[in-house]
Amino acid sequence: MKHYLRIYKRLFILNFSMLTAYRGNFVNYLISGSIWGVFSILSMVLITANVTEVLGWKRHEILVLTGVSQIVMGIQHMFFSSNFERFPLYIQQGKLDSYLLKPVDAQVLVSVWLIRIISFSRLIIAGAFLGYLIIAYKLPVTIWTILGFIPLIICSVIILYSIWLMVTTLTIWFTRLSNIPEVLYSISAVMRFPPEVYREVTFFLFFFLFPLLLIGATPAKQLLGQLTATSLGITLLFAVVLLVVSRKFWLFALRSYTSASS
Amino acid sequence: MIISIDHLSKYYQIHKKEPGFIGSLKSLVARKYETVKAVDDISFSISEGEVVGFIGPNGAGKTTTLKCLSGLLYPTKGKVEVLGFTPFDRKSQFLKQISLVMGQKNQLWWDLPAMDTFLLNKEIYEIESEKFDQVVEDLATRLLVKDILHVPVRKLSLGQRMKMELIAALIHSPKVLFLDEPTIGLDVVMQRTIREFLREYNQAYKASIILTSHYMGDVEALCKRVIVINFGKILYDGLLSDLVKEHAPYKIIKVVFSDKVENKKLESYGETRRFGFPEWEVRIKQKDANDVAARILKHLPVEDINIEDPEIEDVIAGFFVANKK
Amino acid sequence: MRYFRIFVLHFQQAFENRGRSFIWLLLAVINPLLVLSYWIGVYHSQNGGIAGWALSSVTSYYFLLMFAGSFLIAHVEYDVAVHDIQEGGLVKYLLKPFSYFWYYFLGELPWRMIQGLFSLTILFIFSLFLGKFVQLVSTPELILAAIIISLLGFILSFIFKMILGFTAFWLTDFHGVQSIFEIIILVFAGFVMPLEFYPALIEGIAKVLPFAYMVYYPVIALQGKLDLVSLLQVVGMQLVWIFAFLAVYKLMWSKGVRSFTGVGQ
Repeated sequence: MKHYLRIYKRLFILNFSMLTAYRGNFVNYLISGSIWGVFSILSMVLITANVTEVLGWKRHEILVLTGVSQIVMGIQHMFFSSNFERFPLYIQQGKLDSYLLKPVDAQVLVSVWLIRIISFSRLIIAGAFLGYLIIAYKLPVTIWTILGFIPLIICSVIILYSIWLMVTTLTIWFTRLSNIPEVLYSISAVMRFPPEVYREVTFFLFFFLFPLLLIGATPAKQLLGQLTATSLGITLLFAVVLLVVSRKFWLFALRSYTSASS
Repeated sequence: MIISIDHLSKYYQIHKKEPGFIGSLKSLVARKYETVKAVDDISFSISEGEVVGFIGPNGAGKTTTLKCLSGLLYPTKGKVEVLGFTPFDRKSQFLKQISLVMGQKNQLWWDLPAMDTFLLNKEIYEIESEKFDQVVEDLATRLLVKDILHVPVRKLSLGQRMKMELIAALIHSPKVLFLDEPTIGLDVVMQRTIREFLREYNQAYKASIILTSHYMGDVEALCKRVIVINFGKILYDGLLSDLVKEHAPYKIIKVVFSDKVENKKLESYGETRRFGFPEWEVRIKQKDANDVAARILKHLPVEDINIEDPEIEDVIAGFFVANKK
Repeated sequence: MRYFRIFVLHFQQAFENRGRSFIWLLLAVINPLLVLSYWIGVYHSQNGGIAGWALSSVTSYYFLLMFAGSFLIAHVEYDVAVHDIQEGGLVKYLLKPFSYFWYYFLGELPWRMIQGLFSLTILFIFSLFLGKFVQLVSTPELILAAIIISLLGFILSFIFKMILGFTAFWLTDFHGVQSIFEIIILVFAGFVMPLEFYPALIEGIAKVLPFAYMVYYPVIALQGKLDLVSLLQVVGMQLVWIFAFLAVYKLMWSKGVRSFTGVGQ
């Protein structure tokens, strides 16, 4: 365990150095990242502009959901997105080999190699938005609420990570589908909306999207003081199951890669 | 034995697609699969400190064999053992003692100094700080890059980058080193530097080295023993000197003429490989090469003359010819 | 003849990469689908629609948006800006005896067509099961007008994207510009929601900018929401914008190539 922590510390230092290596790009990425961060929130504000309540969620509750999903997405962006985006290229160019040769678990190494530190701005924007909502709507948030909130966010990130991992792993077989990560961004946007909304759509779609629906709603409900034991239980269950399943799928894909690569 | 390979085979299934539009549609419905035998029943073993050259033309099976040895590929048949481990298990202890360097693939972080990558590898391979400093000092001094360790990699020349890649690959003092086309794309001076470094490294660290190349120069400089492979099969396993003596007992003299010469005159010197005025390539028995060259210089209008070794492809071609007889 | 061959070559390539096309399609489809689910929820929660739209209008809007998103928006700006200008690939086009514009236009067409085909199939399947949700234009003249508007919309988006790519002649940070315009298009072309749902000020701005004419107007034309007069007005605006963009294109191309070849590669 300590071994991995030391490696991560060094990776963080390297990524930080990368950030400061190009000052011009630093400002550019900060601006475009922040614009997207603001837009994600703004679009939800616009969409809910003439709505007071949707299937049991009041407007401000939907906005809390937006803020929470931005936090989850922000964490995903910071720690994992870049690595998933590059993965199809690794496969195409045979670069996965250099990770397989290291005396460290390949999945871990591939997942955490790059850290997009600049996405921290999105977390700040989302956090500020949530802060504004909590104050403006006088939400009953205490220190205990936050303490319960954090592990739920972690669960959400685990679920999101596992789903991304499983879908990206497919590119080991479908090397041409290097645009898969883009779809993942779109699909992940599912978490912005109240889960009840999707019951209106066909059951099949609902079932497929179910874990993604939870990752926004469950921590949001925690902040709103509406979390039920059932939602909590289901979310935890999904986190564990998906982590295990995605890991097994990854190992399976590696076996296939090492029999077939040339 | 540090490395032992026993009846190793590696087969691939590839599907063939016909060109053109109809071909694309056809491949949707019915795919033809073909088995490619990249490596076909090869066996050999290598002891500690040996430097072995693995030679053959492109597609011969060299890279595939190296990948099987380093655990990147799962053998179709046969047994592979390196340092007492089965490579494919990819055990941590095994990986810490080997290194695979493939010509163009790089592991240095582009925008950062090479030192940063070394420090990262230090953590990955769990090298103690003292040992790390010692190794970096030693390798950087040997390769004359001590003063550029803190320069961003993208600012280095190709040769300097190659040196850094080597250091990054050797930072954990591996006992076994697999080098796949290590000098490909490098200029002559760089090639020589790398070869010398590898020779010194082998002596100082007693590492076993398998080196694949289709440059005769790499092999000559470093390997006493060579294994010739083609079409996935081993054609020869033994001393390089014996190989050359038996199968490439000739040299090629390349001449550039400064003045017109009659074809007839050239026939007496040796077997003409190619003649397109003003260039001429003639094949001469090894022992006669110097004499013939002197004669050519004396009797013909020569602008430039070069005595060269036969290329690996020729040696192997000669090999096949010899085998057929 | 050579233009036809370019088309065929690109078609083959697009077909080979049909997996990728499918993924791009998913991209164009998922977002509208998500937002649509939300609107259905909204309509079930409150009585009376929004901006006078019935639920079936909203659903058919988003369905058609999927089609429009995959067919009408060209994706050439990245190749133009990065591969050609920044990385110097433009050289090979400058040396060839045919028009850069037409090369890209004919190259883009097959990709759009294949994705258009995919989305038409999906649209068709949806209309079979969820027929009541798909509201489409009915009379032949209106259909014809809608098709014309869609084609003009594509041409408009194509020229715009080419111009966007050309900014790379002068700007080193193409990434930032691309991000900004991606968002502008999302907001003002109607991808977030029908323009009529926006607060009045934003709706006003949207009607003045060209982006609504790339996607929004083709979609509501296909829905049959526009009468003949409005349709003609839309076509008129599209033509105005097309000519304006063509002029900008020509200008940027000549100035850009001069600066590109001046700097050398």
